Amino acid sequence: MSNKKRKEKHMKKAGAWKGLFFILPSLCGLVLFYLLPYLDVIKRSFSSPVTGAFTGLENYRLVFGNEAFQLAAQNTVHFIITCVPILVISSLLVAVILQKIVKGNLLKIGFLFPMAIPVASVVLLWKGVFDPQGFLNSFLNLFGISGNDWMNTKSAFWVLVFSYAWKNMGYCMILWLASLAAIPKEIYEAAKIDGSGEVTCFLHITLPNLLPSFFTITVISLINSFKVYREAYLVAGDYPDQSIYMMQHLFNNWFRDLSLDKLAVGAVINTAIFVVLIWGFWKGWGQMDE
Amino acid sequence: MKKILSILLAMGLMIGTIGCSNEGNAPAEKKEEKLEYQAVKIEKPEDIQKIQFLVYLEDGTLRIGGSDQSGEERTVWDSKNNGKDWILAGDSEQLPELKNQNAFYKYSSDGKFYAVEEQTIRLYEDTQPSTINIAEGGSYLDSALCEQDFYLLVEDETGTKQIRKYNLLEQSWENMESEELVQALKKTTGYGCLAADPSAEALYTEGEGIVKYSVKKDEATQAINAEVLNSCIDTINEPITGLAVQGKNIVVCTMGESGNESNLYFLQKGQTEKNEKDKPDTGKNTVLEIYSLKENSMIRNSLAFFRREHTDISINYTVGYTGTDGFSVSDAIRKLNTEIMAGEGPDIIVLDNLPAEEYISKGVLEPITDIVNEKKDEIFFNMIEGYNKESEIYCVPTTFRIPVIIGNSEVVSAGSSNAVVDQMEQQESPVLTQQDFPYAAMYMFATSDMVEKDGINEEKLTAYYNDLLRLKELGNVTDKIVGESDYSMKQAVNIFPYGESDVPIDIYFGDAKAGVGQIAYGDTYIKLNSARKQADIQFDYLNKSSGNYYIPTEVLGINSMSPSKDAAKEFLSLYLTEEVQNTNTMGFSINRNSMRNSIAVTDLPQYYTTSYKNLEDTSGLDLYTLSTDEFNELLQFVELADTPVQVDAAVTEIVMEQADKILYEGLDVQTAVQTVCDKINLYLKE
Repeated sequence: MSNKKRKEKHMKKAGAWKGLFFILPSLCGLVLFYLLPYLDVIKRSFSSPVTGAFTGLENYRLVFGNEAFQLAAQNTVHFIITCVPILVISSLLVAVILQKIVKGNLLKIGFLFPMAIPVASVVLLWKGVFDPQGFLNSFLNLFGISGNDWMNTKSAFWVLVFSYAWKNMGYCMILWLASLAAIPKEIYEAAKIDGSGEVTCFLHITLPNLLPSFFTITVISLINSFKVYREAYLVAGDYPDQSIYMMQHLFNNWFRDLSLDKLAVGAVINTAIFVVLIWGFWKGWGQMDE
Repeated sequence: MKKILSILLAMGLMIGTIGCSNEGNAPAEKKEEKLEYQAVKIEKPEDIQKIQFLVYLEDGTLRIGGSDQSGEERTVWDSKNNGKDWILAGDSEQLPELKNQNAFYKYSSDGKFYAVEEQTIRLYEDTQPSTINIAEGGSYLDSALCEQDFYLLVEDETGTKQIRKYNLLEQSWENMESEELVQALKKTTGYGCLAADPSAEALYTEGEGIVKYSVKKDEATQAINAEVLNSCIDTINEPITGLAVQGKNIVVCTMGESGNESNLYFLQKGQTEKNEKDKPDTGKNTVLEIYSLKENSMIRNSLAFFRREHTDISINYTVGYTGTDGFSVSDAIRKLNTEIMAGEGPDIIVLDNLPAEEYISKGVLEPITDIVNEKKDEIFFNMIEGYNKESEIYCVPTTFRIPVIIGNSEVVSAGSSNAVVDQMEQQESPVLTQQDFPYAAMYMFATSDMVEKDGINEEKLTAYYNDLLRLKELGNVTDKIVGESDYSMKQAVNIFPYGESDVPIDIYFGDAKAGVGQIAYGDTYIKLNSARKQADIQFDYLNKSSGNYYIPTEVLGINSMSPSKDAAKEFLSLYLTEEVQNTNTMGFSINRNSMRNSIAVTDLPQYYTTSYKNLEDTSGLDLYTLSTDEFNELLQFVELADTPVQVDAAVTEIVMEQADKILYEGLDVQTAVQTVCDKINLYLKE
């Protein structure tokens, strides 16, 4: 190995140590408040809630056989595979369009506005809009269309998807705009000189250059999809329409009923799925960053 | 090197900052300063039996006034040494004549006197008496005069106590609306009393201890908390009737257990601590925590008994859901469960509205079989047996109510709710009163067995909703409800199990043929018993084809992780005694003697009182005490109760929410049933 390479390797190693110093405070917090308690959660998933007696896989058997868990898992997966692609794609399209509009700042602010609205206000807004006697039904009635009990029928699912996309659109859009701004303009100019149209440029220049950002934006969207529970809970309570009965509803109710054994199993399963998903994304897209 | 140093410096700063903030946020050690008091009984002057006022004058003289045994001779006495010696006050002979025997004099701290005559206060100042009429929506409880301000403690028709401030110069008055003061007055356990500090800066009143209200700061604080006060004075048997305060000196006047004689106590600070050093250590560090989801007056009353018996044990009572702090019932249960799981839960849990079965199955509750077995002969053991299906007893319902169907023999003989409604439909109108409709609906649901382990029985729920529509028709209940109507099911859920209409009177006066009532109090049973002697009225267990239902209330259990299990068991044992249960007003007591004491029983029925339909009526239903045989008949009836009503609040709320929609918003039964099944089945499957 040449001296230069050895030096580079040494520098890289030294840089990694410096980085570790910087993240150490938050790493300590993470270990202390998340990782160590999580070990206790894993232990509890194999024991009875109050006496702490070892129960083997009994808790896992109970949870996997629990119909409420099955429904919640099914709904959560359904929600994620519906809303995350919708958000990622729609925010990308909006970002691309906004990038083309020279004076689009006001529009950008408009898209960011939902982020600034507190959840409690959003809930009030939803109640006003989606109530059987609410604004939406009154509006539909003007055109002779009969209304719907939006939050207590299957349409509640789509209300929640809309709520999620509306609230997170601005944030994702900003991330996309930052990625778009990082693509060198020279590539587009060269392509245009070669006679490429807008669509060709988008498909062959923009998309490939944005692929590394997909990982970050998808993971953030995935995490944010779990936060939509706040709206669902505040609008429809502990037991909403079955179509929006999510994992968090179940966890919340298990906690209320002191079913900490089931809760621990649920947390372990959830983490496992998350780790696998994020690892998959990282393997697929994340490494493109490097 | 420089870079490494700067990184280390930054790290040091961060750790320092975190360290500092941690120190600041570290759970502060409980440094709650608990002032210890000892009550020293003051010997009254011989001429005084009942004390009508007490006040500290500006020079520190304690002045009291009262009447002798006959109630006619009134005298005023002064003491310069907090009640050790008394001398007759010079004013005694110059006092103007009072209008009647119930009138009395009071003094301000600057020695001005005034007379309280029924609803009028007569102020004697500059020889021209001015009067204050207190008839404006309140009755007099106590008063205090401070210079030009006159403070009056009154009680309105609803029992709400408030303090009025009269400005004597401007002849105007206003209610003192400090939220802390209002809340404190709500917790008054005695008759209500008021005292002013001679400096006129603070008012003192009784409300879960002794409360000091700073007039200038508009701020109420606890001068002596309830725990300390009750450890000095048995305020249950000796309710507080008056107060006098000067600086650290507090004198409390109580009504003795006989009800004819006042007692005076000087509360001495700092003495108990000294005395306790000589006592053997009987666990004075023991703290007993009692929890109930909602306010429970019976538990609150019982604290004084426990404190009297166990002065070495501190006792705290916590109410989880007050409805005033933005906390929902669900939030409160969640908080309690977190504490239980963290091993910091209460020692005694009042299980009403809490998931008792879950607690038993998860090992949260301690077996209390030994305590209950000791008292087996003193209590209605069938109520406990019905509630505890396991071999061990984990919780004790301490009061109970029995929902009953009341009506003629045909209605009463119907075994199920459905059959009852069938029979009602065959009666001539009016069959059911509007007022009874929500109770009938609620109790029919509570005694139904439609909620099964894995879900709700769809067929039974459909039949129930159809029965509700029929009942509504029979009760001529209004089609629409506005807001929280008295007839809404939501309202019925809110007050369950403590509401009922006056079914025996309604039937006796021909306003109904039948109804659903409760056997829960001596007076209501006497009414039912008297009515059935004079009309074709019978009663029986509601929905008896499924069991003899009763509603267990004030259900107590002990936390299995409690660090004070022995104290908790002592409390439970005391709570079940006749002495404590005699103060119970929440339903029939599980203690046999207390239940017997709550009903007027004589060898032969004797006229008791008359119950009128309307206040202005001249004829009504004459009520008679129970004869011994009639009481024994009631006992036999009670002893047959074997099936507890176990209402799950979440299930009931969902069922009744849809019931309101069916009854008052025109929702079809099938859709409502589907909604209920979806939600409840999910809930039960969790």
